[in-house]
Amino acid sequence: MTAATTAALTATTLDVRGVSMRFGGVLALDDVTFTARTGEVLGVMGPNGAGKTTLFNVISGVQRPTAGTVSLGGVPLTGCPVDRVASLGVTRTFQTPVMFWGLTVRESIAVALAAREFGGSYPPPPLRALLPAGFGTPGRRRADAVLNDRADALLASAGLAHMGDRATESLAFGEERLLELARALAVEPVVLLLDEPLSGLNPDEVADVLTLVRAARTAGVAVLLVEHAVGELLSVADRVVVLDHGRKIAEGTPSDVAADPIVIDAYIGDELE
Amino acid sequence: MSFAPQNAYGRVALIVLAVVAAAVWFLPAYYTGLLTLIGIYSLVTIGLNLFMGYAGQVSLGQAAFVGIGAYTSAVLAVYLHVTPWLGAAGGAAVAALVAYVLSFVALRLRENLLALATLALGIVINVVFNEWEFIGGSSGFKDIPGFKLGAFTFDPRAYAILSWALVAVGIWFAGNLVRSSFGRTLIAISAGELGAQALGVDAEKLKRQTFVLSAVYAGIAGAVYASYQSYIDPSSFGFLLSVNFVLMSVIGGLRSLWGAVIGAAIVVALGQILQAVVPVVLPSARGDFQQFFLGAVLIAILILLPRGLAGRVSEGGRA
Ligand SMILES: Nc1ncnc2c1ncn2[C@@H]1O[C@H](COP(=O)(O)OP(=O)(O)OP(=O)(O)O)[C@@H](O)[C@H]1O
Ligand SMILES: [Mg+2]
Repeated sequence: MTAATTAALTATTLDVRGVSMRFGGVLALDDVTFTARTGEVLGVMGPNGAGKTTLFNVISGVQRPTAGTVSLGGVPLTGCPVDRVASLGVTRTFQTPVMFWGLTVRESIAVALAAREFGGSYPPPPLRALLPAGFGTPGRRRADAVLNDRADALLASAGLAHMGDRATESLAFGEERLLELARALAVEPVVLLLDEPLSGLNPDEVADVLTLVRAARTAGVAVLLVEHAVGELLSVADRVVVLDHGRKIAEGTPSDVAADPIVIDAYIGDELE
Repeated sequence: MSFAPQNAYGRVALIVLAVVAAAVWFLPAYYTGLLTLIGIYSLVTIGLNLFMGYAGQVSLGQAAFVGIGAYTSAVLAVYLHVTPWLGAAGGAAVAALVAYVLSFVALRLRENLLALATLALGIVINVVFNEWEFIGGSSGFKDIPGFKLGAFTFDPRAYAILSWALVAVGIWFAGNLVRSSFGRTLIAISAGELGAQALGVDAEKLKRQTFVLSAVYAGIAGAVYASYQSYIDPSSFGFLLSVNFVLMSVIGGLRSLWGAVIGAAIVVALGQILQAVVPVVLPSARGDFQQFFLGAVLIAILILLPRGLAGRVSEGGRA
């Protein structure tokens, strides 16, 4: 690896600054600041209700923070709608997987690839997608066939080659999580937010997800990983941010965080409540 | 595996068109007229199915776009002597423009409110038809020129063939669309809008393009209707017609393009049957009662066949 690529792989990409999110009387996020770098897995830990999903909602544009800013490589994301944030390179999965019922697994991936085809945003003006598609122009048909082939290739690389023709309605919970992850990877994100991607999975599926996460890291993606399975989280994360009651209470390497009395307190305190 | 999308819709539609083109030479005029009406309504409903069945939205104002197409073409023909062929294009363009403008308000809204917004559009447009004397006001627009091909002025048979030719083109186009990445993305937003947005899908823009396309279908249908009837008035494009389009769409099966045609045929046929039967069974019943019975029969169909007659929405449930 050259010095230049090493530098690129450790560059700050996502910058979360002083973010607060208030819902009525609940301060779900309280002045949270951290950064994520390209090519790292940043674990996000915290007891139930700590604000982890809210943090992802704020970063991905689902919710607008009541204070603070989020930016990607210097470009502000705060206030951008979800699809705009995605087209800038930040995508996510959901605590409850979102499936595209009515499509097959392959078609679900192809939807993600279609957005990619047009610079990360879909649809382009009617002349570029709707009309060629409706008239069935040879160019558009070829492009769609290519999307299908690429979807198959992606499924194969995620170990899901056998699933391409399955209806998404027929998937088991663990398969839904894997498909959602493969779909998110298909848009080649700069930052990938994974909300409890291991919950509800069997050990084989856990290993599959962790393999995909490590591969994404190697490809230079900044992966933010929310997970209650602390052992797995600490094993895959390069750094960890810990939230409790909306505040960042710790940040550091997995071993530092695991040994931090404040963190231990937060988890034990939570269990005693 | 390489997958080249083939469109069987277009081929089947050509066969249907050939059957219609042959049948009109044998059918009594009354049935040819019904066939024309079914063709015109099918065209509207195919467009509506893209917006409702595939994109998962609701429109209770589709009759307004039919009316806009009809009035635009009529005005162009009567005042400016524009041929209905161009008038249909003009009608489609104006309907598309109105849909485009409205979409900036309506498509921000969730389903129930979208239904109300499109309903309001229908009512407002109808008020315009009623009050605007330039287009005939409440007494309507008479002597609308017919379609011509060279020296030949369209007769009822020609209108039946024209309307089904448009159905064939409309279903071919929609068939290509639903099998393309565009159609898949429509299904994706109807199933999980936020999930699609997180991949970079601009759901509002996608719905807007589809809504405008549905208005184009309706506008063309309206232009053909105006020339076919040679007379239009505001009551031809009222709220009940919009409801009937939704019924056609739902009865045939929302996520099915041929379902749109089947739905249109059933609603038109039921309307005719009730018109014949109700006065015999209930001599005191008036016109409103027919609509009442039509509604009742259709609700019964919906309860018995919730996915519509041609429903192709996957049967697979969640494990
Ligand atoms: N839309 C909302 N309206 C009101 N309160 C909310 C909303 N979303 C989250 N909250 C509150 O904000 C706090 C943080 O919730 P959040 O879902 O972010 O927690 P979490 O860390 O993801 O928890 P879990 O581990 O259970 O998923 C909770 O107290 C929750 O009740
Ligand atoms: Mg959560």
